[in-house]
Amino acid sequence: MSTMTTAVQHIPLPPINDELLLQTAGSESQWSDSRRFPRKNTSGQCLLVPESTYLASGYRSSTQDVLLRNLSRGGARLLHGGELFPGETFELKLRTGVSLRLKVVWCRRHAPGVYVTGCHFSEQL
Amino acid sequence: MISSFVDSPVHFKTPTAPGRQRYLAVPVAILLGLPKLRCDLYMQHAISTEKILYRSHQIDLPIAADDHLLNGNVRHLFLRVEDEHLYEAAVQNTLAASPVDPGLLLTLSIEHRRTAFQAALISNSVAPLVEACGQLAQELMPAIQQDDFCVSKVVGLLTHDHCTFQHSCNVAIYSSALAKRAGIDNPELELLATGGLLHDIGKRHIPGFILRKPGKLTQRERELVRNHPKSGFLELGSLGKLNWNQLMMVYQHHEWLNGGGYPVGNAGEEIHLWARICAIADVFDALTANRPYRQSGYTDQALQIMNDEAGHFDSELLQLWNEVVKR
Repeated sequence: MSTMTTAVQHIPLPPINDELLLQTAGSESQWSDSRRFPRKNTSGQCLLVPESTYLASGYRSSTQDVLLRNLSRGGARLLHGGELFPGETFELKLRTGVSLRLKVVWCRRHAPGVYVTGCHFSEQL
Repeated sequence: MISSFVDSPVHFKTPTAPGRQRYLAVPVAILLGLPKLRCDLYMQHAISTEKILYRSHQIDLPIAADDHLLNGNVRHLFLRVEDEHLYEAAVQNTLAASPVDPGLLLTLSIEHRRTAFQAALISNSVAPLVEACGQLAQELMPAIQQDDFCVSKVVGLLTHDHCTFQHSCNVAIYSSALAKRAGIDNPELELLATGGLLHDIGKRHIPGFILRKPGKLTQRERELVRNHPKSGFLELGSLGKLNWNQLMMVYQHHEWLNGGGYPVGNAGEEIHLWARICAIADVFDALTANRPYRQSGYTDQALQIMNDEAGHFDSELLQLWNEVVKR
């Protein structure tokens, strides 16, 4: 039985369909929300480039194609194919050329090979 | 302090009234292995919270000669806090004398390290705790590595209290025994034992009254409890002293093989092997421990429950665990 995690160089997006999009979208902000910033749903594809946060433990993260599911000034929700771990930091490269630095807060498995992750931006937008 | 204060159900953080005599609870299983302990031992009064003298320090007989202890259901005796150094010295002397029965060696090692562990547990920094766990894991190895190491005998010896320390020790021992059966050997085995000792470190941030609550948890309390793998992972991950296998034990030990666990809901091989081992050890100890929210169980019943909930565990590892316990 193998025990060490071997990193894949690049993880592509899992197959996306309407049902998956519907299930993984967070609810948009309501006036009654106690959120700091309003949240807007989106579905833009981006590239997630890791900083080797847990390299000291022998773990190396992979670059991933991710789908941006929603966005606020404080953070973002991502849909992707490889698990991310709390505390990991990444650079999110948008197609517009803008890069954002973010930190993983939580990650849940939605289906085999499909994960949804909540992140905070290192600097508020 | 070598053992937890138990003049109330709450442990060492409990303030005590000025002038009131304080006692340490010591497991009978340990006392039976100590050839000579020159201090007064007390028992819990059946009705009141008072302690009554069970045995004077003037009695010059090994404790194992007391039939009452061997035959009865007494699990703990008490000694005065000021006699703690005598108890500690007796434990160290017994550890130094070899050969010792593997089960007793384990329990003595745990007692020997309890002071350092408890001190590290209440310190703000997690680094001393990791160091204490590494040392304890190293001391546990000689007993676990012995050919005649037998889990079914150890289960009776290991004490259970409400404190996460003892649970962590038990999980480390059970995890190591299962890992050894699965073909993992030193130096990996020692690292795995360290991971087992640290697997619940995130519970440091949960208030004690929630950990000991016998009834149903509220939504908020449940969220706090379910957050402990993540908070432990974050704390240890940022320290940079544990390898990824150990970190996965901390982060994934509540994941179920069928995807029904937390914090991620991973399934099958997505759960790290060491975490799958830790999950079996964790549940086995929970089922056999005398916890406030569950009556004492027996190993056969515990195994039966685990086998019935097979979707939670790696079936191959669970089969090995059945073999290890029934050996």
